[in-house]
Amino acid sequence: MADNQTTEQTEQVISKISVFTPIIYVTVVLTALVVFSINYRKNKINALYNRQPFFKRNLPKELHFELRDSDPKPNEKVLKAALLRRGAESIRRTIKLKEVQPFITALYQKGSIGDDLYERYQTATKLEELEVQEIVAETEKYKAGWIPKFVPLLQEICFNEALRRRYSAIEDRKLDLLDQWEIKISKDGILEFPNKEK
Amino acid sequence: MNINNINIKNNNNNTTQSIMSLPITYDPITKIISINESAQNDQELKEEIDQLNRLSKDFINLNSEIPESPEPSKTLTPLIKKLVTSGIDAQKRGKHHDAIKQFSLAIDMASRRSRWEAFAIQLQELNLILMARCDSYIMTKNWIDAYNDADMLLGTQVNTPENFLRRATAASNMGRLTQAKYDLERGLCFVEDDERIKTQLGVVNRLIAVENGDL
Amino acid sequence: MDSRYNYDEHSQTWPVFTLSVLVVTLIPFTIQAVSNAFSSTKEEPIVGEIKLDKVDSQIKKFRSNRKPSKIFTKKNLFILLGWLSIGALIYHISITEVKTQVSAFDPYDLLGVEYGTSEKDIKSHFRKLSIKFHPDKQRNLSEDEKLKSEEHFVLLTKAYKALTEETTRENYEKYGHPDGPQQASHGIALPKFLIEGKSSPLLLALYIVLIGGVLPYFVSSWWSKTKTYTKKGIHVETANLFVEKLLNHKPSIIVRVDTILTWLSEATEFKILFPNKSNEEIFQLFQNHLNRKTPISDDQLKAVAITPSLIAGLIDFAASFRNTEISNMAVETLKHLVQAVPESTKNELLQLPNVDQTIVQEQKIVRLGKLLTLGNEEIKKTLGIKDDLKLKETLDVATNIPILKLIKAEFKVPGEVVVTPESTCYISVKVVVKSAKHHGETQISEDKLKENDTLETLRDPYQIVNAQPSLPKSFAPFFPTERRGGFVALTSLQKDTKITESPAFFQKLSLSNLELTQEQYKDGSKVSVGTFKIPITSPTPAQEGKYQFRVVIKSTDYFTQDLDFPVIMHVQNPPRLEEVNYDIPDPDEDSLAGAVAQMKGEKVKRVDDDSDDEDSEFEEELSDFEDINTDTEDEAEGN
Repeated sequence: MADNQTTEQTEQVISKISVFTPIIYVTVVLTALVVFSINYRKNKINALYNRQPFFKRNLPKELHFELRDSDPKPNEKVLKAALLRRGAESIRRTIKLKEVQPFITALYQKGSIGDDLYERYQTATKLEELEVQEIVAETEKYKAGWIPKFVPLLQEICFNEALRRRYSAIEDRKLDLLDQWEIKISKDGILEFPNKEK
Repeated sequence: MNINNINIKNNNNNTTQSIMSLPITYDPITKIISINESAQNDQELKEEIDQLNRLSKDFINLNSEIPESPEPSKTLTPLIKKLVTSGIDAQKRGKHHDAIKQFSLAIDMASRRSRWEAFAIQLQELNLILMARCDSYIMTKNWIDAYNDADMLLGTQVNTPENFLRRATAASNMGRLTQAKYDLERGLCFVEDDERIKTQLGVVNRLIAVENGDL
Repeated sequence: MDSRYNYDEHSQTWPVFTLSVLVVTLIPFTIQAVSNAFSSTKEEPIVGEIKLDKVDSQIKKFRSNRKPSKIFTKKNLFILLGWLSIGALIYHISITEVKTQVSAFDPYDLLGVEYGTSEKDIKSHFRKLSIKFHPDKQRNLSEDEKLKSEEHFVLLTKAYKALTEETTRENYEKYGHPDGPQQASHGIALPKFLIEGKSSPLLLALYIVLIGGVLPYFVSSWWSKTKTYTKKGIHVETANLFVEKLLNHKPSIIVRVDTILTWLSEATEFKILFPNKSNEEIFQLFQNHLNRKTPISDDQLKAVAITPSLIAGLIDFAASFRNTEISNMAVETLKHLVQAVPESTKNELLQLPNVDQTIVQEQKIVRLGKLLTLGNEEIKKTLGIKDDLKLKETLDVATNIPILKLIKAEFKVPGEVVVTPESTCYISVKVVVKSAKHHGETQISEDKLKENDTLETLRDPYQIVNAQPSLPKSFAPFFPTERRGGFVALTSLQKDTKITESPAFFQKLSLSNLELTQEQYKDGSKVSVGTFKIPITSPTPAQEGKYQFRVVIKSTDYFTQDLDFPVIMHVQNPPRLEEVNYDIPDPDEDSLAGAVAQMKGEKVKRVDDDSDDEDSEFEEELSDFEDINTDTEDEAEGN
């Protein structure tokens, strides 16, 4: 008799849980998963928003926009020059992106860089392609069929400016080297070499 | 950057013509763009505006709508050539300080060329002047400037034994012996039997041994 | 039959179950921990180790705090707790009376007769027993005792029947029990208190929390951790930073120690470590370290302590970007940080203990070798040391800094006499470790340089490198952690001076030569030769010819004259038809053509499609420019 009672009791307890158990279980698990996925997506979107551009600001492009849209319109030749600058910068960036492509891929395969950077690289490449198309469209606006004349000029500008920049860096490099090598310049402009035996 | 731009756009909905507002002013008379007082410290923008002004000036001076080809300017070429020739003349007469002046002037003149003029020609021109100037620097024992000129030549991949010798000579004379040794060895990689480099390498190796206390 | 599971009512099974699980997990861990503890204690003294103790007390404290204690680790705590609970469980089991629900049934034993007794004897024996044990015959018994005796009598009767009656006997033989099959019991080894009544919702809640909360949390945090740190152990944001720095680096700017330190100071690791510190403040910490400023702040030690891994990451990136200048300077910066020496041309002297920085800076001497040719009094003057005892310390360090001397460097293809086309090769570098006190040349006999090709060495040519003894700890009294440095080899192509291989790190090399006298060194018979082998990842070119390389082997911890030498890969074999240049394909030419084609051709036209004369001519023309752009193109960006 007493035995029967206890079994009844336990059965009661078990059945009491069994009503809520699946509901609670499913709710908890689902909420956990939903919270997790919401957070994950939010973080991902935030990361996309905060994603820094691969290159620093594109000043030639900004300048071109600024001049093109300003009122009154600047001289046509100034605008063309701005467009040429923009195109030269685009060429520089395209070259740079192509140059680092094998490096980025190798680093990604080695696991030295994360997915984020790899995606950023690809985004940058696509953005640059878009920029090239935009420049082509802009050029066509000035005069149809100008592209073949325009493009060779862009490369020359790109390289020539680089060459001039390298040349004008000579003076800064000189000061930097003197400092690094601890070479002092005396008042009459003669260099004093610290480690050279006379 | 993009986010900033969007913000600006939202704030100035009435001024539709300008999405970005760079601190610049355009003077319609001189056709020159200048940087505003507020952004004087923006070195990057300054440099960019300089480059743009140069280019538009070249454009305005041009008779046609667009340069027909990257042909080098016919007016500047003889002027530069003249400066270089007189520099070399001075060099031959042993007047290296004068030569250096002429060469530097020639470089300045060359940099007045329009940026769309053929790069290959501009590079070659600059390299030739730099080589000549470097030699005069070496002759006047101006090692750091000689080093810098040779450094730029090698930086543009003009891997001639002369350039390695130039940079190594300058480096070793400033006490940068290991650097000199490396340059000479690299030079020998390209021209295995260059006697001048071999001799200089012997000298530098001896100097290194002295520096190390081996000799 | 009862098919319900019964929980562990008497707490008999679950302790045993837990015990076995614990024992199975703990034993391997314990063995590992014990073997670890013993292996570390027998650390052999390494030849060439500088044992001089010049470490500042604060740095010592920092080191001992950082050094993971061998005994008080989380793992050992886990092992200890595990064994404690094993002890508790064993105790628990030993005091719990084992109640066998179904005891073994042995009729002979119950009746107290010998196995094989005849049926007749059994009958007579049972009669005697029944008289003795019949419950009615028992008097003066308590209720409890009465029950027991009844139970016993029932058993006796069963035993008797099992041996005499036919059906019972059959049952006994089949199921081991005279009543036939017994109840099958499936137990779940959970203690009863968890299942019963009130606490069962608790278990359920625990289960839900575990599955719904804890498990996803750990999985996601593990996942995000693998995503926030690269395989090389640096933060992905730092990896991004390094790539951006390399991408936007202007070749016209000279890379110096401060350049590298500025880059490092922007690393995300420091933002995590010091959320309130600006990049400039981090940079200042580095500067304070290099200039050995006192007092030393704890932040400074913490910041400097993580620089080696960051620099290793940077070297990896710089080498991948084929940038020789930055790779070299990154290694240099590591040396500066390890030795706490500011950028100077007198680094070799400044890294010595007890020296006066200002006096050293005024000297003409730059090399340790030259310093050691001087007499003691002169050395004292040169280094600004007054005390003889201190001079001894200084000289001890100066003579024990390993200097490499190149004996031979060549390209090798395992199993071949010459470098064959399209083969895997490595650069074999034979060096002699020497002390700064050793001067002049040494005589190395040919057979010391020889490596005999055996099946083993063919299979693993790097075996001989790894068989060398480990390098000792570096003498770096100012560095926040103990360091075991080594050497790093950077291989570049002479043609474009760009790095071609990932940096190779070496931490094995015998320093036994440091103990030789000058005479022994000159004589050479006792001089040991060390070997580095630098793997070359790409196969040798298919075309015969000479390909020039440059190898730089730098010490990561000491300022010494680093090795920097040319090596020629002389590919030999019957000539082949295809013309392949050993140029790491330069993307510029191709890419420029691509960019141009894209602009020139209507909308997007891929460069691959261009095969007409005009374009190929164009490409050729561009190849002349490719060189300049690698060095100058990046300068469009300002700082």
